Amino acid sequence: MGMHWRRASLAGWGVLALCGATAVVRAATSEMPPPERRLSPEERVEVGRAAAAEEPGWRQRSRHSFPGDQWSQDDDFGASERKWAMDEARRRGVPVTDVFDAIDEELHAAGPIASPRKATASPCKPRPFYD
Amino acid sequence: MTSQLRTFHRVATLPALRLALFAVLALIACWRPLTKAGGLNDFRDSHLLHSYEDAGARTLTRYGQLPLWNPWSCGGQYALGSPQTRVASPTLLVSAALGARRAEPVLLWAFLVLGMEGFFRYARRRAGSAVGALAAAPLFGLFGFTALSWSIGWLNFAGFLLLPWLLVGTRRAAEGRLSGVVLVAAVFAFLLGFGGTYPVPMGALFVALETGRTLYMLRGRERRLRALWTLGATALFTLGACAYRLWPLVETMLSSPRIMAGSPGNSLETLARMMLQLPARSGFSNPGNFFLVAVALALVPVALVLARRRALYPTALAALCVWMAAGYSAKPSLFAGLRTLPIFSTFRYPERFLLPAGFFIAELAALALAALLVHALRRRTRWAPRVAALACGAVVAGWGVQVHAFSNLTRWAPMVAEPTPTPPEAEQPFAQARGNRWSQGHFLALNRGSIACGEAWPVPMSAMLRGDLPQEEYLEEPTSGTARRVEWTPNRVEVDVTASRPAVLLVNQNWHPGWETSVGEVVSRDGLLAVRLPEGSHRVVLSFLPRSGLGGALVSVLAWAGLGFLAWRQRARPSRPWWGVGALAVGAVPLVAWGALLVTSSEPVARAVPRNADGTPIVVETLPPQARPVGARFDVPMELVAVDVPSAPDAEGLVHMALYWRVTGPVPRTTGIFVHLPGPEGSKRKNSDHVVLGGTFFLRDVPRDVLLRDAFAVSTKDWEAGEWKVLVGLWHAGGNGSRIEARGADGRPLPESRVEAGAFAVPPKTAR
Repeated sequence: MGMHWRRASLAGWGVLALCGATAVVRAATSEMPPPERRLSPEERVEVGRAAAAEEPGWRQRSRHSFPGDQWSQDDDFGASERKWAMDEARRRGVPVTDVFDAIDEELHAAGPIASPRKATASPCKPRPFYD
Repeated sequence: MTSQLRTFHRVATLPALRLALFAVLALIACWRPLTKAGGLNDFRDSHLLHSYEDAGARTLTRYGQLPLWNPWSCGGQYALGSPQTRVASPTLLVSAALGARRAEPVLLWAFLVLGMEGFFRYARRRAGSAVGALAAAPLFGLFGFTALSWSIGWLNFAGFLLLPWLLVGTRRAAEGRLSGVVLVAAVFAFLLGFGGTYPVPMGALFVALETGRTLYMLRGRERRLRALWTLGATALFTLGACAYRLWPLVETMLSSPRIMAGSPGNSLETLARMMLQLPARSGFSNPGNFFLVAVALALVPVALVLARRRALYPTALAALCVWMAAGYSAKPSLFAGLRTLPIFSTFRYPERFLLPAGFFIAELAALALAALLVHALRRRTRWAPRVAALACGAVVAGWGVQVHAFSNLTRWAPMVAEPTPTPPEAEQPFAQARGNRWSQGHFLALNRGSIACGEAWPVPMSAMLRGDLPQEEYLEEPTSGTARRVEWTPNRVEVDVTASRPAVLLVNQNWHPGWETSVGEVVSRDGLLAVRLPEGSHRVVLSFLPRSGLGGALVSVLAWAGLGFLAWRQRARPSRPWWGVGALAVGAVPLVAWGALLVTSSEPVARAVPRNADGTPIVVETLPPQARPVGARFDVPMELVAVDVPSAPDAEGLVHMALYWRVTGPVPRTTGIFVHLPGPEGSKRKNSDHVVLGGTFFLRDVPRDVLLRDAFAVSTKDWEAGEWKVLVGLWHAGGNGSRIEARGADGRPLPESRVEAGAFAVPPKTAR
């Protein structure tokens, strides 16, 4: 290997290392600023109660959407809850995590939860069809 | 032309320059994922799969434990036994160092570089041209599907990029090189650790085909014989090296098999759009999912014309992959045939075969460029150098298009900002939440487990898990004493129990046979982790020590030790071949140890009870009093023993029905149950057909000679008032659609091969 190829090779290793380092540094330092506002303790109670009030309606809809299929019903309920949580977070300008935290706190504070609400989830039984 | 080509050749053959080029291309392609690394991917699958990695990194960094048990998902699951976790891969160290979210795009970048380098090495041998291989490598490495996989949280699919390494290793092994054995064993072991349900089975399929191709190409009996020895050793060592993950996976999948029904298919037009249409910059749709720049496809006929014989194999394989990708739309369906094989029966999306199709098309592109360059060098025609330069230029321009498409696909990731992680010292104690599988990532940030589970296989779960408990460890009978958590970590839980009489300690997590206790006996309480304890005060230490994970790791260590021994012996005596009976014997040692572990250490199986979708058991002892005996038999060995159809919907308008079946012999998998519900005149007929009994078994697989309860329900919310009949029978659901002849209890054929199971009356809406 001639001298200039040796130099080119060294430069190549350097570029490879630089690219790797750039990838690591870029990933380690990239920021997505989260919403600054957080739910206050009073708001958490309020949000938890609001979600609890919505729950029977979501569950009833799920029973009709997936009759006789408990896992799918709970999954459908989860989808409704998620949509509500995201809307609520957006409306209040807080992280979605805070809304789910509030729901969890309410469930733990109000337990044991009884029908028509649930503090359980049906064992995973994925639907066999996806097409 | 000659001197320019020499320079290109030199650049292509210098690893540093080649890797630098790949690294730059990968960095440009990954720039957006790297920029968004601090965010949370809000796509549902990412919530699940990313949570697994996050849980694994947490277990390692916060608790200093190996990620064997994941208490944050589905009420607790065996991390090594869950096929989609990638916590058993060395990449977990990157997640631990950078944080699971930030590690993902860095790993994506590394996979792209590895994929391009692997393809180069593979194609150079196959095409015989370093320049051709270098030009085609980014076409495969930047294949659109990898970008899509990152966008929706399926980083496991980046494992596909290691396919060329597997094929390079297979060929090397067949040539008698020990490095080939090491490569195949290492890549398969890595891929298994990295998780996913496609890369390993598909890799195995193409390794088998490559083995056949290599054996066919080898000349001379002696070479072929050597190849058989070395490939045999490769198989043994690979199996041993994979045991650390293979054993837990096989054990788990046997106890809770994944059922995949349906007949997915794609037209050729759809496939062409998936592969050739530039993906949109936002949204989520099929076109462009598997983007491969059209110039690669345009070079296929060139390869066929100029390289002829060498182009046959990749052309045939690319065509087979497209046929496979067409799924059930192709007649006959190759995909349907593949699905009859045990490992491949759970393949859901046939279009994923476009990925290997892209690989072989890229190989053909490399071959075409190689042939054009040879023509140019030999100046066979006046225009040959110009055509070769034009083709190379088009491929290099194709890199730009490929990077652009890749970048577009990464824009599909719905990245959202979330609060910075809570430091360990400020974190609330672990507890199960009801959770939400669509947003699981939020729960892990709260140190809450999500009982709600959206896995693709039926995770053995307890219906007793709760998200509202005041404490996670408690006594089954509260009056029998007290329980207090002393220490909690994922793989180890310490509880102080004072019991005034023999008691059962319940832990709000799923039971698994790998749990062991320092006092009393670990038992399953309807799937919940429990410890039967004697009277008195105890410090109960529960530890998760799964036989398959620990035993499998031992087997894998033995396999690597064996490979190390062979490498040492080869180095010490280079003139003597490493293969032969001795090498096979060394390769067999880990497998013998595996067998010995299986025989000597027994462990109960976490078998899921087969249940209907409504939670009731499928296998029952007797008929309930309200069931009406039918005794209908069919031209397949099945009997409709009885039916249970209520006369009216319940208060909510739901009709819960049950059919009682008995299967006495082999039934084709394609057999389905039809349930037709004709209503009052003028109404549209409803149906509740199904080919999977209770959502659990194909009729081919149901337990024989037992009473099977097939429960299902319909909602009559929007149905017209009046009488609705329930007509039941069997049909060839996956065949010609014809009904299977039925006979009544008296042996006479039933009209239209169906049983009148009952009828129910839907009341007028105002009456409810």
